[in-house]
Amino acid sequence: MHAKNTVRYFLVIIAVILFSFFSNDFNLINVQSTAIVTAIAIDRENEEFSISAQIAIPAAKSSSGKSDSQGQSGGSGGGNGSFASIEGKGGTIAQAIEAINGKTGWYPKLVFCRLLILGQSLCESNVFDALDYFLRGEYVAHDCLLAAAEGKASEILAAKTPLGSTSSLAIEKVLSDQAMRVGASLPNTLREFSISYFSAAKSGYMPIVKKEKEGEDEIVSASETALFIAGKQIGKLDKRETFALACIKTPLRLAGYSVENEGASNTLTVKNNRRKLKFFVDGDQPKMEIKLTMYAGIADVSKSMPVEDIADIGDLPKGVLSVASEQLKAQLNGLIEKCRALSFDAFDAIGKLQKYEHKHFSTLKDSLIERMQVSLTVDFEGIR
Amino acid sequence: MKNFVNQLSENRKFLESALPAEDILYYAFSSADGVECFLAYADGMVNKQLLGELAAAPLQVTALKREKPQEDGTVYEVNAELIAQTVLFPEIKEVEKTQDALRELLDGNTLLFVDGLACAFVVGAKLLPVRAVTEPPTDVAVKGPREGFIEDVKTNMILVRKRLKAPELKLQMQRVGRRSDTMVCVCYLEGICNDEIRKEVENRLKKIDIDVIPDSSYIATLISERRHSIFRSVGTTERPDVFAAKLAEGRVGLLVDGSPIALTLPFAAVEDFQSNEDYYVSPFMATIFRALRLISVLIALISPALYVCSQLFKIQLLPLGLTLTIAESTSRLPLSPSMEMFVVLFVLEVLKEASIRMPKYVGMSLSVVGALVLGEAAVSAGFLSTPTIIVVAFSGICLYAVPNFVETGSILRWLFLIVGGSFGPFGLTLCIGFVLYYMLSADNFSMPLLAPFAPMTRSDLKDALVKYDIAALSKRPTIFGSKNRTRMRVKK
Amino acid sequence: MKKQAPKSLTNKNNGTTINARQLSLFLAFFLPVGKILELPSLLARGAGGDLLLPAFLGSLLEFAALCALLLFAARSEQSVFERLENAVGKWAARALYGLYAAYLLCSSALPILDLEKFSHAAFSDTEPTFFSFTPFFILSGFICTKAFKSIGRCSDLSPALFLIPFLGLILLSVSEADFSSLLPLFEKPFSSSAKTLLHALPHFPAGGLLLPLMSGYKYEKGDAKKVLPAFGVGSLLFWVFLAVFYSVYGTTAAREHYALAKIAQYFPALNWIGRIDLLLVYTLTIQLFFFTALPLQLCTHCVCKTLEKPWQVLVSAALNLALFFAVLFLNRHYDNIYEFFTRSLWWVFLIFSTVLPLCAPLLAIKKGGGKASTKAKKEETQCTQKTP
Repeated sequence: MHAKNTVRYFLVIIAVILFSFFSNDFNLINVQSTAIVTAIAIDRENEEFSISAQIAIPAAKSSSGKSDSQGQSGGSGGGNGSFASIEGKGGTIAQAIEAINGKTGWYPKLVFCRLLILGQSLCESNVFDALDYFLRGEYVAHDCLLAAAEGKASEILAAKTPLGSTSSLAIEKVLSDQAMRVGASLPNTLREFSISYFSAAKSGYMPIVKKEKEGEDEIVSASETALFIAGKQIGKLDKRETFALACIKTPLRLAGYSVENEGASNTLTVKNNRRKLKFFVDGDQPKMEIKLTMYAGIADVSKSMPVEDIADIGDLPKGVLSVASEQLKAQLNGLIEKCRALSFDAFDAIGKLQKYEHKHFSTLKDSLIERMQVSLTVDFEGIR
Repeated sequence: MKNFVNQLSENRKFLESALPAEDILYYAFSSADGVECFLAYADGMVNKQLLGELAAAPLQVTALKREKPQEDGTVYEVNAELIAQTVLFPEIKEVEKTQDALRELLDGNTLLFVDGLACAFVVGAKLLPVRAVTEPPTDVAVKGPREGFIEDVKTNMILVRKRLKAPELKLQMQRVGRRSDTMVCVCYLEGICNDEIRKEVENRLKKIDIDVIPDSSYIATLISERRHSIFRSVGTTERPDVFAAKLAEGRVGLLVDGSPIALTLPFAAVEDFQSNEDYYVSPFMATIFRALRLISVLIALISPALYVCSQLFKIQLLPLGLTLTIAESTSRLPLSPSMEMFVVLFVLEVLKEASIRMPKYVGMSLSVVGALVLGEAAVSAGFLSTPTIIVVAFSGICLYAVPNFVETGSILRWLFLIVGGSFGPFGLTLCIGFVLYYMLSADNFSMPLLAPFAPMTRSDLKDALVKYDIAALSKRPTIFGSKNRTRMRVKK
Repeated sequence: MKKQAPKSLTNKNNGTTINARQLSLFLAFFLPVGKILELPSLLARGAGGDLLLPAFLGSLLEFAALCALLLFAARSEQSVFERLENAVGKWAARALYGLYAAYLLCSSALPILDLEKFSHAAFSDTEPTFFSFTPFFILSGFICTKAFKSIGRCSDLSPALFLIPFLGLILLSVSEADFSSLLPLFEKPFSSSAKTLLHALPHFPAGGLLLPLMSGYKYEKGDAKKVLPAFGVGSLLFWVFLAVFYSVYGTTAAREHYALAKIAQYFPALNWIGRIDLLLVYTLTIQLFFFTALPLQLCTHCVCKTLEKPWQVLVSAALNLALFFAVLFLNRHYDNIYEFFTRSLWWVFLIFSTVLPLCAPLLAIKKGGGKASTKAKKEETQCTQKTP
């Protein structure tokens, strides 16, 4: 009897589940009705946010099995369909995104959003006026790349690059881990930027994406870095300063570095770098010791060399070693002075003060960057 | 009548009325001294040549009467002992009860009646049509023996006896089924098998009250505690080597006449993931194979549901490129992803069922129809998408990595698809949790279904999903509660 | 035909429903799963980088409750309820059962609400309707009808369901963790950590769960050596999770609800192969379902004991239906409910999870009557041996 009732209960449950399966409407949003947003460019116009979202459109397969590409104001996707740019405006980011929903009928999904480009107008106010939306959302990827734009962010996203791929993909390439490892740019993610924003130093950075014209083509580069304090851009680092900061912040692999020695230009390949940052308070004096060792080999010299020198790439001439060290040291000193002038905490000194020298934190935190003595040791070592 | 009588004609009349079938034949003859006899047998079930040569012929040349001196003169009576000596059959016994004799006749034995004796002699001259012992089609192994059980229980008993030449091997017969009178052989190793389980099995067999037992699956269902469960509670095998090994571990085995599928119990779910070949290859390979089977089953059960969930509920489960590829393929389809998957799974099940049932002659053309028409043409026409077909096909293949789990797996796959398509990954996870909780709370013959994992028996984990070297398996599994746990002694 | 099952083959418990091994696995791998959902962000909100301190204190309270209950079990063959019945009367035991039933029913509301919100975040890309959560109550109803031995068996499965995916998540997240975020230690005043602990008490339920659960447990010599370290392992896993979580998120940790689904999402390879960490999360969620249903299962048992009727199915259906409607109403007022439970009702959790278990040893008498009787037994044995 019990078994019969149990079977009846299960049959009822199965019937309910089958009904729910076939009725199939629990506010589901099919992937076909979804706008998969891969990149967003945000500009601020007066008190309004204007966003330009790059949406991946899967190309429909025709009856022959081939894809039909279609694009509106975007490039072809180079394989997986195409991309379209849709704009929306609103008093908040959420309103602007809803405007996209209203225009297209597609529900925008930000889970695949890999890139946020912030326009100059937004960077000059507080970027977190916009970024808060992405931090609040449970359905937004927090590991998306951040980039600042010179001018309007939407123009950067609309760039047509010669690689044939969508601008957001091209920008992601110049902000990739590979670009970081060669010191070409200093990418940053929303999570890391937010952590630094909410930290004691409130200092953060993100690469500046620029459009450069080469003939008829537009290429994007991200060799410069914007500096932020409390979400507001306070300055920028040029290419050389960006590389210097990258030497301290990131592990380098096969980064190129050129030095002039005895009338010839030597390009070194930095295969590895060892960075040591030591922060301590000596009495009342905050000090930071930075020790940087670059392991490099000669990739090329502008003059022809004897065969023994070409074969022995691991043995750097002493002249090259000292010139490279001096040059990089000068770059780093320039960077330090610039950051000091801008009160920008490039090496998270305030964070280290809070973590490791907490007893001095309240007295030193406001004047740390100005007072901190930085001693720099830069060495180049030859490596095959 | 309950017992036979002295009059031959009465006995024959009884038989003719009790078994009025045309295949029940009677061969009448007389002994040398004129005593009337007849043989009763079922046509096609006996070796008539042997009967004639070893039963009828010797009796025809023998005088069966003997003198019995009495007060009022010498009386002649039939010598019953002489009959047993004259009939040259190793199996010969007397029965007096009519029901016993009828059973023997219907079993294929021959009844010998002699005028003047109130009994029948059962002559074991059976020659039943049986098929040869071949490799079982449902349990194929690359390495290992190639013998399989057949429908004849006696042959099966021989196959077991061949492998367990121990006096402790007990083969006890019971008869089940009011009309089929099916022989069920309860096999166990005395001193190793748990007596409580054995007695329980025997009790449950005795309590079965049914007309006909066409197959061992009836026995499996009738002795189970959970008849409505989709998980089986009795192990099955067609291989005598597996059967013998399971008896040696402490299980009870059942051989059912008319079925090549032997039953073993108690049963644990992990047995489905074990194969006899695991014991014939190196332990590393065995472990890999078992892991492969488990992963295959998980893929088979979950991949269709997960595929639907990734399109409808959580597109993050797949990388962007793959999501776009799938979206590309499904962009012009008339059906939603869940309905599409439902249809393709249904087609797979129909194809599977049809391929079992169809005659061999049309098998090739139907395979072409299934593969080309339903697969390729449906995709080209825009009814179905390629990724769905790939997922379902792979799921179908994966499930057959564990043939014993196919029935349960098919049901679970449907269940997961329907729940996943309705409630997304959350519903799917809930359903898996439900199934898992059901399994860990389900016992049969007090044996937990998820033994030796829940409850955990560490020593038995050596031969669960991971297979240790044979030297490490010197003790029988603890879960069977065997009195004698030593399986192997390692001499130092 | 009603089948009588033979005596359990695997019952090495000698009539009990949960043995020391299962209890150890319960403490090591079953209990921590409820702490890695909402508790990390709650602790981060209150204590910042010092979140390990209130976590340690909470674990200490649970440890104390566990020790008290083990001590009771070592001294008494009976459960707390049976002992109370013998000492005071049947009505006292029934009253305690009833109290615990009410406590367990109310305390299960918060985890279910958390689970509902978690299911939206981890299992969906949009906000589904409440209806999509209702199947949980079917599972919970089913679990509530099962006996305590299923809890023990669940614990046996917990290494597979919890430990393996947990370690996988930790491995995926360690590369993105900056452990210096936990510094400086003791930055916030102790009062802040203590306050955080009080508000987080609903998430340290061990004592309140163990008291009814251990009514099916019989202490054997040497069990404490297994059980207590197992609790230590479970606590350690929880602390490691907290440390890694805060190291990944730093100052933004307070905003990251449902840490379980968030901790490993930044592993670089996930961009290319998809969110396979979610598969690990889903496996852990199976354990989470069992854990969330556990208070209801114990509540069902307590209600049946209070009423002294074997009405598991009926009581389970009633309780789950009541909770279904409660959660249906409450989920719109999630923040208010959360604040009410954590800020206003913390003392209730303190009483049932810590104070009452600590009082348990007062009910126990030593097995054999204590030292005096042991001495008497020794003398008796010596006399017997001397007699020829």
